[in-house]
Amino acid sequence: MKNICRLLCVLILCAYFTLQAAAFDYRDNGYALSEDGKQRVAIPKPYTVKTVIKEFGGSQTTLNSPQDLFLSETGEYYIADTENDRIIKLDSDFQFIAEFTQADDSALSKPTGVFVDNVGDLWVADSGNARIVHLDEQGKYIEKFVKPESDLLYNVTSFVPTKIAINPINNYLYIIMGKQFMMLDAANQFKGYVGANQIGINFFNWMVQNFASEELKFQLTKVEPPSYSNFMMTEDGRVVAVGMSSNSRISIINTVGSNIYPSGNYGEVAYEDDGTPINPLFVDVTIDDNQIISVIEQNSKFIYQYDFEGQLICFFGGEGLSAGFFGMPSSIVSDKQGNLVVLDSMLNQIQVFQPTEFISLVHNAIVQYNAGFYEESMASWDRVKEKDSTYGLSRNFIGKIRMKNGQYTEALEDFRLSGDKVNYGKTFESLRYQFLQKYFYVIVISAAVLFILLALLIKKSRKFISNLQAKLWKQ
Amino acid sequence: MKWLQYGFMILFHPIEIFYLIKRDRKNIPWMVSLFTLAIAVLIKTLTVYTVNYTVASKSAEQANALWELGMVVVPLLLWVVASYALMTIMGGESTFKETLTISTYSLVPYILFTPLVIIISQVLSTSEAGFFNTLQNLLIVWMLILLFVGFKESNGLGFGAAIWRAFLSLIVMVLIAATFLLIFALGSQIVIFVQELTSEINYYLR
Repeated sequence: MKNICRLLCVLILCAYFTLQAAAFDYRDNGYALSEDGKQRVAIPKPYTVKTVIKEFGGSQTTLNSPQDLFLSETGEYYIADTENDRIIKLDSDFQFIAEFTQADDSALSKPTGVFVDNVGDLWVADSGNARIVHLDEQGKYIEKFVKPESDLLYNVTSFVPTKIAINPINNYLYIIMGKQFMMLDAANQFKGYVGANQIGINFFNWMVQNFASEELKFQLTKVEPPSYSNFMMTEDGRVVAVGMSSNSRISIINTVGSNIYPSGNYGEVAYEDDGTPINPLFVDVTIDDNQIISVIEQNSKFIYQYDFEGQLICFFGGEGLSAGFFGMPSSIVSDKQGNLVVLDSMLNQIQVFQPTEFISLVHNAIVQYNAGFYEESMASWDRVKEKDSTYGLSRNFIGKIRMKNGQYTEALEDFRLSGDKVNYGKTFESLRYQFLQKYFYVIVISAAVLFILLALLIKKSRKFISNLQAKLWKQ
Repeated sequence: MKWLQYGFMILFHPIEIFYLIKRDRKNIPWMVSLFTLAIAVLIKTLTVYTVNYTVASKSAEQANALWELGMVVVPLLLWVVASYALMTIMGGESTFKETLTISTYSLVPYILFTPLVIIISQVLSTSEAGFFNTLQNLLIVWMLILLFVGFKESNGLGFGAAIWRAFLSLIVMVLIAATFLLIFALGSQIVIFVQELTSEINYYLR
């Protein structure tokens, strides 16, 4: 009897601990934010891990703190294996093809960025050697780019490029150096900053321009360009960049240099124990064929996904060692099948995330909506709602479709529940206009009657007020 | 009844009504100011729940009735206490009850016209929220003017002197608020100290 009791106790304890462990580690879902953006809401899992790759070929079998992953147009993956001082090339199944360690007569040193142009040539941000090297497909050295000579770069002491790409439209070399985002031309000349902020004329600037001394002017008007951490070049020459400026952490810069992505607070602000806010730190971004933007946030180790209008679709991941979690995600690309490939610089591995049925439906519905197929989009959103009836984005899109179909009353409710005040206002205006059209004569007549009554009331009340005044004085 | 009539007439002849209240100050019932304050709080809270969603600054889910109460009562009482305290030492004429009554009567336009503003808000859209805010601000300005006029009349001050003393009252308000904050901070420190002490003693005794 005693033994049975003991056995039972042990069993219960075991079960308890395993359950607890499971409860701790088993976060098998993604997240969205509540309509006020303050709370996380669990949604069905958006992505499942298809494969985890830890072993790569070449002189070293594993990676060491890799900083960049690039997917070429022909489907090969390139990894900047930073601490191993090499670039490796993998085929679309992540099988080793080649490795590049030399450029000219000197070896690569701490490469942090890699890019392959449409000819197949390789461009490496060779940070340790303060240069950018251009290699051909076989890895033969062609040319290098060093610090450009320009008066505008007076505060640039050391030239350490971290990320590079070539714009297929103007053929400039786009580089991120430190936190600055700039362009170089083929002759190694500085061509200006990318996505620089506009310096408007305000009272302060005007005062400085007119009254400050030269030294003071130099100190006061030194406006720094906004800081960027990484970017991705699309095929049509647009730049999708992430950075640390508070109101445009994600921006899409078109070929004339203006940001066409809505500004807003992307990511989540975390707080330290003493209440100090920690702003999200986006380190890499990718945009897929459906114009869905995925970014890596390195403080929380989550991947946030936004649509082209800046609406949060989902976020997933988090810190952890098991598959589906990240040690220190450093780079992300999306392949042609819609998978997300994430490079982890702490666990030295690549994880391939496959979209689940749920998130594929969501993407599909967004694409259909953007293309103008509202009926089809509505059907897709209904299927999304079957899977998760509380998903806020589906409510918002259903509201938009209903607004386009003229079902204003239903749309109002959808927008109120999804917290979309702008569209609520638009729907309200349409509804008000409809109402005005329908009851125009009634409204005009009642307004006239009301006006006459009011005039009479005012006339009468004059007397009433003066009587009351006299009465109060007498008391 | 007479006090309700005063409340109505504040809209048209505030200076006379303030004078009449002053004349009557021996028998002002406490209920008058309490009732006015209660209605003002009620109106302020109802605004959050009934205003059109397009112009609402916060949703009804976020609203906190206690906070709305504090937003009306605390500034008003601070003003009453500060101006009364200041005027007792600077040659004022009004009693505390009189100051309180006159100050709460200044809320009457806010009380009477906020329902109208809420009704107007029902036909306003998001882009017209500025109009709604202007209406609300106008009511607040009206209230502030009445407060000032009441302060001036009840103490029998000239315009310049009233402005100077009102400014001083504002400083006194800030001082009182700062004192309360200080007391609160020190009090919480003492509470934390006692808590830590008891936990230490508990640990020692164990």
